[in-house]
Amino acid sequence: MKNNSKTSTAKIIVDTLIENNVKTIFGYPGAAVIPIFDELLENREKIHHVLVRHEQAAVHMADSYARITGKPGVCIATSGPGATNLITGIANAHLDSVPLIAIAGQVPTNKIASDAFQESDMMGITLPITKHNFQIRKPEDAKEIILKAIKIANQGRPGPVYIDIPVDMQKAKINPPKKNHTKIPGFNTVTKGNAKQIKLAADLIRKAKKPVFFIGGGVIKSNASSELKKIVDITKIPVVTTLMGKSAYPEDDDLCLGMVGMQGRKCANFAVQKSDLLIITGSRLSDRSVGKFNEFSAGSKKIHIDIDPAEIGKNISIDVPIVGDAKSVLEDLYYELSKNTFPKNNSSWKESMIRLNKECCCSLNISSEKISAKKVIYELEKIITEKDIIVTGVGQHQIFAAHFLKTKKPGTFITSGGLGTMGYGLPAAIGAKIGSPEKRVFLLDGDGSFQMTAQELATIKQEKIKIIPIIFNNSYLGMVAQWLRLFKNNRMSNVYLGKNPDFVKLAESFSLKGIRVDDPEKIRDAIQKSIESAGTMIVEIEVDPEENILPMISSGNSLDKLFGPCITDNYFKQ
Amino acid sequence: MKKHVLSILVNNEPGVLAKISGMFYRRNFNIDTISVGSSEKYNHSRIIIVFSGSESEFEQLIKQLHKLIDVVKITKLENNPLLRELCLIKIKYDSSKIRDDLISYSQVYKNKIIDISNDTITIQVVGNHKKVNNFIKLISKYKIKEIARTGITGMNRG
Repeated sequence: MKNNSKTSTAKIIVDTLIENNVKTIFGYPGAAVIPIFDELLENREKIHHVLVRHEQAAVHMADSYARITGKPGVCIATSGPGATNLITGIANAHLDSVPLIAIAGQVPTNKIASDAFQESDMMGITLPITKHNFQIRKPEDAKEIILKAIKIANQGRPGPVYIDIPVDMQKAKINPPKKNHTKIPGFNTVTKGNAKQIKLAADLIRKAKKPVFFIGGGVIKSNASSELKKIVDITKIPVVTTLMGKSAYPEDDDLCLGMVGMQGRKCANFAVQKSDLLIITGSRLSDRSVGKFNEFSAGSKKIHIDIDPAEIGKNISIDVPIVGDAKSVLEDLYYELSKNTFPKNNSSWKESMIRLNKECCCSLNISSEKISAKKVIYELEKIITEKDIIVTGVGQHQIFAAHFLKTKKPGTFITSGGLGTMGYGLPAAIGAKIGSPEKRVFLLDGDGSFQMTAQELATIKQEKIKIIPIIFNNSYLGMVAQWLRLFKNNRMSNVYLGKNPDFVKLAESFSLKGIRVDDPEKIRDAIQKSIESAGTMIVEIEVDPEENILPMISSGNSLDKLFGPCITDNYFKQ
Repeated sequence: MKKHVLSILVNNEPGVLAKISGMFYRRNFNIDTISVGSSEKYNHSRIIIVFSGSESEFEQLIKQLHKLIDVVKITKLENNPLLRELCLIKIKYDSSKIRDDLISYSQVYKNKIIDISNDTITIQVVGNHKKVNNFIKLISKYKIKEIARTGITGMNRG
């Protein structure tokens, strides 16, 4: 090697990742990525490879790692089935705007399009679910493509980038090019909001009698929480958050009305529907957050701050569009608003929202024979602090957590919002723990969601990961069962998971620990045991299979069509 | 529904057309015509698309195009832009009367006869969309065997 100055492309690829501060890579080897894995072994001191048990877990781990650290998560798989197993996770990151680099091997260039063994057209398959994709066709381009991919994944609205690397490209030995062109013509991001528009927005905010902040995940991504808080402190405007925006604003504040949307809090939906000015920030206004498009907050003027201009006016028409990074725009907006004393136009609205917020809280301390999921949340609230990370799967437990569990620090609630990917929870909890090893990571999962990626308990053991998994076990696909109870006259089609494994024994079979709870009085002790356990200890809680997570609106309805308990009178008719 | 025309400068790389047409499909944009060719810029192609839709749909289309990394520049073709289309029409004839009629129609339209056989005549029409449509309408009473159109290409004036 010494008398040969040529370098393998695989080495260039791994070196480039290391140079760009990639310290962890999640993956699974296979024939078409052996050269890269060889380099990963060579560089194991500099870049840690986490060996998963299924590629879908690798991409979910990279996804939550990115959400926690703010850096792009990187995952790697082999060609064909390895690469197609990444798809769900890539789509998940795409819908939740997570910076992600997904790398997969490919058959050698001279075999592409021959339907070779373990060949799949990943460029075609990933096209609609990535921000961009690349195939390395010349070894000289490898470094440039990795650098561009990192830039694209990070810059502007974050998103996943897929890189297809034919195995012969990895083996090729080249003299690395001296210069790499990482400029991408036409790829420009506006981060600073237009000053005139911001002035206009400030004027509307001053005049508004019933203003509401409608906060999405973009506020967390751009670290704009403190700017938002500063504005709320002077304006006293109530805040609602979408599922992705949860934790962007401290939920123990009286002005935080909580989650809005299909399964939002009543006070949040009410505020939005009755508002005369919505300040939408970092949200793409998805159907789940806004309900029926043409009945969404019909009486309000709307300011929309987003880094992606295509989101402004896509679903809902907007009066004052502001393209820019939430942090920068809110900073400028704060400056504009703090120039003069803020008028008291909205003070009676503020008072009534604070009152409504309190009335909207129902007791979680339910002492029923069968354990209510609310009771579990009640106990968790006593244990979880603002320093902890909460990760969820997808289903009833997720909405129980989103609806009732109060978060205080931005980015401490990790969930699959847009795609609603069952099985996200366990790998995401692992990725979150690797991204923030000093923190306690609580996984709240359902029995159905958990089983979709339960094999990753092996990764937990192998990587010596300590998380606190809490399984809400009702032996049902709870959310679907709820829909069937409510909308299909109780016809329970294929939602009973009666043959669930014994989760305690399952944990033990992976050389982990487990504890089962069927008495509401023992929930806190069990969670405490799991926290104190040296390794990961699953807490399986047998919850009531008949319980619905309410209030909710049925699909396709407007935000004011909430039904369920906790709704005591006719707020919406006022 | 107004017709809108866009000129899009894109990287000339494999898969770029798929990325653009995939976005049209995915986002439910109805494209009337699309034509692709090389451009004045090395390694860049120019795509001309004609889109029917409302003003807000058109704005959304432009925003979505901007999101594609391979799209370098987008120009609206407006204010009476220069728009041209090429059309080839093959017509079957069974009398010299029909053949002569077609030749004289073509002369009026400044079309070219580019191929002729014992029973077919092939006419080349170049012009704006309307001219091509008008000519096709004019000769529609004859036995048209085949029509091939390029879709519109164009640029702004000046």
